[in-house]
Amino acid sequence: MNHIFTIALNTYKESVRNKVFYIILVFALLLLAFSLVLASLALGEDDRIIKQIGLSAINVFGLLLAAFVGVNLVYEELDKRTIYTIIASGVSRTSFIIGKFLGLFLTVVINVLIMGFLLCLLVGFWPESNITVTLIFAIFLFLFEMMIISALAVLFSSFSTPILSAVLTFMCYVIGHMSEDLIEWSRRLMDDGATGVANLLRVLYFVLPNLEIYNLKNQVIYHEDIGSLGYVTLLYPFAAILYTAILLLIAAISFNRRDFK
Amino acid sequence: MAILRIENLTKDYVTGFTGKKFRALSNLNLEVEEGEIFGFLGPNGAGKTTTIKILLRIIFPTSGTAWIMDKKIGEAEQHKIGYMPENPYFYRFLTGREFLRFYARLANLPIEDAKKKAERLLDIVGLGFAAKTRLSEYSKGMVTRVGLAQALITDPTLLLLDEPMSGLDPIGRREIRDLIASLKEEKKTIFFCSHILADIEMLCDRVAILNKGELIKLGTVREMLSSGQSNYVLSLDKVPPETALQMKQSAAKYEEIGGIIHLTIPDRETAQKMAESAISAGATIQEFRPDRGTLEDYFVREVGAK
Ligand SMILES: Nc1ncnc2c1ncn2[C@@H]1O[C@H](COP(=O)(O)OP(=O)(O)O)[C@@H](O)[C@H]1O
Ligand SMILES: [Mg+2]
Repeated sequence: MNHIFTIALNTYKESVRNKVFYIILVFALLLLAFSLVLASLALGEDDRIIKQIGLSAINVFGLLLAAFVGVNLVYEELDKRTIYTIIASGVSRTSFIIGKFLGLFLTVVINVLIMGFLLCLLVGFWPESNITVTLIFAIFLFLFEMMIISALAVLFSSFSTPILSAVLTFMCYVIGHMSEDLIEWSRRLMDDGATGVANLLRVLYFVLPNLEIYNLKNQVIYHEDIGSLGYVTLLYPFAAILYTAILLLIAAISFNRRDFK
Repeated sequence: MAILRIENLTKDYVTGFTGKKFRALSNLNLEVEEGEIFGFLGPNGAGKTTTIKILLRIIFPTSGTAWIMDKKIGEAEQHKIGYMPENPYFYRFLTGREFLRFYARLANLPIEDAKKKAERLLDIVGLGFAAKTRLSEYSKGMVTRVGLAQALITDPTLLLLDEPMSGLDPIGRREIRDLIASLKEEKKTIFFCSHILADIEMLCDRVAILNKGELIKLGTVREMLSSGQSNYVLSLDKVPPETALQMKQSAAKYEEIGGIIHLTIPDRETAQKMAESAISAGATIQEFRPDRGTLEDYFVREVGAK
């Protein structure tokens, strides 16, 4: 436990000392500022514009951070052989992977919380806009999407190069947000007789997480009451935790047998 | 009782997409006794790093095993083993102090002890002045020293040092050598990998020579040095040209550096005779001594023969 904790904190330190962290934060803040400009131009749409752009910014920049920092994390340790002395210190490979993941996730959480806090501040002070429970819950749900993205990045980075890992992580993100379309396309292709492609889409649908369930943007901007979401929404965080655990388990298993070059 | 016992250790690397196997280590048997500095010698690619990596479970052996302090590798108590990797590269974003604290924490030292330990070791390796400097700004010598400090953080009984002096300038090497020598006084066992013979010759009690994954020699440095035939070295000044010409023909090796003639002569009697005739021809003797050769000569002879 101590090992996991020590590695996680060190990884967090590594991430926040990385320029990428600040670049992403600055861009996110710029985007928030930009949303204010747009809001003041578009009469009567203030609330929707600020929330729409704000939530998108949090989501996209959270994704970029998780992906760009994450894909390097494990790969660099292997490539630069910094992992040697860690393993030699008696840290198990499983602890190493979990520690790396937790450190990355902590970085992303802090980034999302900073952005989320600023968005709430903005919304709170802007005359035509106000903070809703749904907005806060939407930001909270983003954290679980980012959890899955972080675990994917760590998993990919444990066996492939940063560039390939980044591509794979983004692909999972995009496909994850098209989950519903995927199954719909699969159905149509099946009707057209293209069973091969249809089955492939079906497999993707089942293997990759449905990330759209962590997206409450529409509910927020159309002022849906939190009560209308349904209790099943409360289960989504647990689904994310379970999925993350499975991803990390796969990473740990493949890691445990490997020779480090 | 041997502190490190390696038994029939074999490692095949699988390379490329074809899955071709390459035997980097072949049936290695070795014992290192407590308190000795053991030199693990071999040219590049001999399998030294492979051996150390297996001992630390960074890679897994194809067959065979090893015992460290009577525990099988994998079950060994890691905090009793200090490790310094070859060409060390550490977390560049950490300062020297943070770096050592990190390893102290990994060794389960409580935070306060970890802090104290880090400061002490920074002093020991002479990096107190760079405690707050990030490793990205360390020179190679400083990285080596902080790496050694890292290896010592748990006060280990056994140290595995993989080429700790390679790539250092003469001053850096001297510092590391002195540091290693001082560790011996603390009764630590040191398993020392190198292809630099001078370092091994100066530090090690016993030496194993590895070549292409196979152990070709094991013994004390003295045994190895005295096993070769010993030459005599004769250095002369003010030798008349005709005498010099004569000598050039009868010596095994003839060198003239700065007006002084250095001769290497295979046997004692010939050497003595040449010295006498040189004196009678008006030359002065600068040096006359038996030359037992260096570990390097031995090494070149042994490794070259295979
Ligand atoms: N990960 C690896 N994959 C394939 N071959 C390797 C690997 N690591 C080392 N080798 C080969 O094994 C041999 C021994 O390497 P090594 O143990 O690093 O030698 P040394 O440390 O004595 O210089 C070399 O021929 C090297 O090329
Ligand atoms: Mg080596």
